[in-house]
Amino acid sequence: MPETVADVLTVQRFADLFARVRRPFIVETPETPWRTLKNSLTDGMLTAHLLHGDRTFGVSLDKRHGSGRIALNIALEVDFGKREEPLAEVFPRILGEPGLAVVMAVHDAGQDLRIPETAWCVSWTGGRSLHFWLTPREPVPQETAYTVAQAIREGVDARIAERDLCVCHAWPTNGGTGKGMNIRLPWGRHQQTGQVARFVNLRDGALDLRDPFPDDVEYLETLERNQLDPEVLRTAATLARHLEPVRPVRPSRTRPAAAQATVESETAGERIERSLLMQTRRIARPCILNLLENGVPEGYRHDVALLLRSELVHCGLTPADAWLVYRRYMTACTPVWEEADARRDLEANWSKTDPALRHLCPGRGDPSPVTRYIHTHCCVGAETCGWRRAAAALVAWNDHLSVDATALYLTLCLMETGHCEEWAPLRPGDTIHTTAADLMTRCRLGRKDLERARADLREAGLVEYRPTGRPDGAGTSTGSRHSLYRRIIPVPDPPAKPDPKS
Amino acid sequence: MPDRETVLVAWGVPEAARIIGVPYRTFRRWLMDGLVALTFHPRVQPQERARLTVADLAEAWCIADLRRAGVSMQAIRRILVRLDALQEREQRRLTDFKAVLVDMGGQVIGVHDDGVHERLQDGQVRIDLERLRRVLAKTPGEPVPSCWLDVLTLREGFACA
Repeated sequence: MPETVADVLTVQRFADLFARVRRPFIVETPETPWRTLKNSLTDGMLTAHLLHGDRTFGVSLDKRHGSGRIALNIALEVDFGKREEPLAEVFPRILGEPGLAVVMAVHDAGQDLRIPETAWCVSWTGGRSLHFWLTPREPVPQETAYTVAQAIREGVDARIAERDLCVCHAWPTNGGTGKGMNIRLPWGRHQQTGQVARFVNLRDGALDLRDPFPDDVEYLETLERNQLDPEVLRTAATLARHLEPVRPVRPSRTRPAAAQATVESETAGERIERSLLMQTRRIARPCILNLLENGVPEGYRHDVALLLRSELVHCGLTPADAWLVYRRYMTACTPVWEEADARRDLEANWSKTDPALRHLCPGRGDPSPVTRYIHTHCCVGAETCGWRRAAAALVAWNDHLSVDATALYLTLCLMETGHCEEWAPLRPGDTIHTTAADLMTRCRLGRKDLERARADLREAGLVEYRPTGRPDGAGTSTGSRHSLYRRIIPVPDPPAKPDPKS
Repeated sequence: MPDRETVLVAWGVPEAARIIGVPYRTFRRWLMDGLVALTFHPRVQPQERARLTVADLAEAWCIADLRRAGVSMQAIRRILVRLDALQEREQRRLTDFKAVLVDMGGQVIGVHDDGVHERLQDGQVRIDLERLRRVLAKTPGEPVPSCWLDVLTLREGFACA
């Protein structure tokens, strides 16, 4: 094919999307496997990659910038077969149901971090792999890109593990100051199979291959249009960071031994929080999240499903969101609950589920066997539970509340779980009966500060507060007015852009 | 993040403004604009009584010294934004580095290790943090409420990755 001006422009557009780092690069020919060259990848080489197919090139997705490093793209690789498997056997899996499941998993994992589906570009390598590309409009710090890539990788792995598939590589491959691996560029020839790489479409619930280069040049326009705003990646990185340390580390001075003994179960809950971000943040109850990880034996399945469902209704999840959580519970049960049965259970009972039936931690009296089972197998301890309830709500409100209001909210969460209390633990959103004097003592705040913090929380829609009709202080050690506090569940979203000067 | 010992005491905004030698209203504006990233207040809320830790004061001290040396506010903001990128995190601090070098072209280099003196050039501003410590020794701060430390712990949980 003759190289025209249009080809040159196309090559430049292609390079602007995928080959933004020109040095060093990797090259593969029919005779020689991949090798790294230190010189710069030229437009001529890219033309050879796209048009002639006698050489295939790959590039790095990160480079040095100042004293740090920046990333130009994010990419994932998922292999659908072993190296020795013939392509004819692997290819149906790539475009078939397993491939579709992987694409959906990548979209879902991205959406957990608020990355839109349209930002993903899927490329078949010509061999046994699919590559998933995210291209930010401007470079982002390598650490940001790495955090996002790893969070998506974990999210995808959690979703496709049951199919014996996993993300083999996530670029950038290095989160520190080091250089990462190179990746094969799209649209080149796969030298082992002789096939030409092509982009993949998700259309009508199925995958199909787009035309090869140069017939598919107009797709570059779509890719350019769908480039990701770097701000979205920064938000995604922040979300990804928030997911990992779900349980805040407390100094040991106040940490009870019982809470320290539950590390294993907390880890399980945190895994769930990573894979179902938005839903679990709304649930914000560690025992329920552990339930999704551990499941229950056959005899408890339906009874616990009722508790789970009422929790989901209480948290304001839509049936579609609830199904994602329900499906997770379904697969965790022993034996696995059949999907059709679980879906029928959810759909038939959703509208008539009473949130008042939510799991109540055992206090006084004799708990039911189901309550006792959940408490024994899934409880993380009162204090840890309180901290995680607070963390789930406050992670989004961090920049919007005064430090006194944050402290008061944290105290209410800890009071809810009954930490250091004689009363039975409460569920998220249950009414807390206390006095202003009690709260002032717990928070070590003066009266004016407490009142201001309380007003802030009320104004933000996070807490309801109502004095009772007993102003005489009867029945309290401090002799002050009784009040009822209630955390509002579901926790509202903070305003989009707070104005610091308002 | 400063260690736990240094956050036990803090200073109010009027007192902090006096310590670093900046008019109260100017200092308040710096805080509201987020020029100084405060330990306890990721964003100072209206009507909130902000408190500054030693680390916050050191940061404000650096900015005030740069202003006194004639560096424009625009240049300081530019430096902070570039430091932000260097540190790859949201909370930027001049004091996180052993030294911050800014050349004529506006290129910013944060130096973590020793060997700062070899890289210094004529005309650069040197900020004396030792003097701040002497001032603080004469103006002790007030202990912060213990619940604030819990909030700090909670936020550490959000931020550490």
